[in-house]
Amino acid sequence: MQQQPMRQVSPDQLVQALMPIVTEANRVFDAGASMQSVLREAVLAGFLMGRGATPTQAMETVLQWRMSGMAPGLMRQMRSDAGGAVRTLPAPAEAPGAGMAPGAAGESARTLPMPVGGGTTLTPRDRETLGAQVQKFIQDQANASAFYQQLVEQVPGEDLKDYVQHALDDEREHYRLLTAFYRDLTGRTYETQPQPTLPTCGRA
Amino acid sequence: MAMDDEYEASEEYRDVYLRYDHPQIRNLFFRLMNDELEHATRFNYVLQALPDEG
Repeated sequence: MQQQPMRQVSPDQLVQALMPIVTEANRVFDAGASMQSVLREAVLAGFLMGRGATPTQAMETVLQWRMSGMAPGLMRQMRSDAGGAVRTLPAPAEAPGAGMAPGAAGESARTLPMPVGGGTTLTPRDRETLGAQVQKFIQDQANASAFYQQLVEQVPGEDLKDYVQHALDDEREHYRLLTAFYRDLTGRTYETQPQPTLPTCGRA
Repeated sequence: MAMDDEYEASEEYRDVYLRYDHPQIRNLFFRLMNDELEHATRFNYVLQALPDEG
């Protein structure tokens, strides 16, 4: 297999080429993900390789789809007997053009501390609790935006204005992210206006 | 005060981050938490730079 690897590849070479994905799938399983989650990701990565992706590209694409929410079906579930939390596929360093090379996946630290409670699946009760909290956060962000809006007009000098403007932009983005999240979470929309009692910008 | 609000917000976001093992929730609230901490730092700088108004 020199010029057209996909055409002349032997079955065994194919298996070799898939090894990075198998290795990674094994790791994710060992870290506690459910067999179904692991298979979903591994098969999808294999499919992408069949479409010409390198193992690294394939795994990164799967990761992106999973983390961006573009493919909610890729959400990972933990096995009930699992002790650790799994969240990310690795981004192993890729040798350029090493399409069919069975490079070993990087073994950096990829697990995060186990959360206090809850699993990857949200119960209706989780949604309700979190939804109520998110409503408050949305209100907080609306208030914060109004505050920074006021402040940006008051502070002197470009430097300070930039600083405040940065925060203002963030708070507006947060408002947007949180309302979108609320919609995903509850299926309802929640929009709000800043409350009239704004904090002042004094030092007291 | 705004700086306290930012710190408080970052803690509330942190608590949500820690409570749920759900990638989208963790991504969102990790970002929110960090941003609010950054705001507190920036706000502190702005406060220091402002002339005393008495």
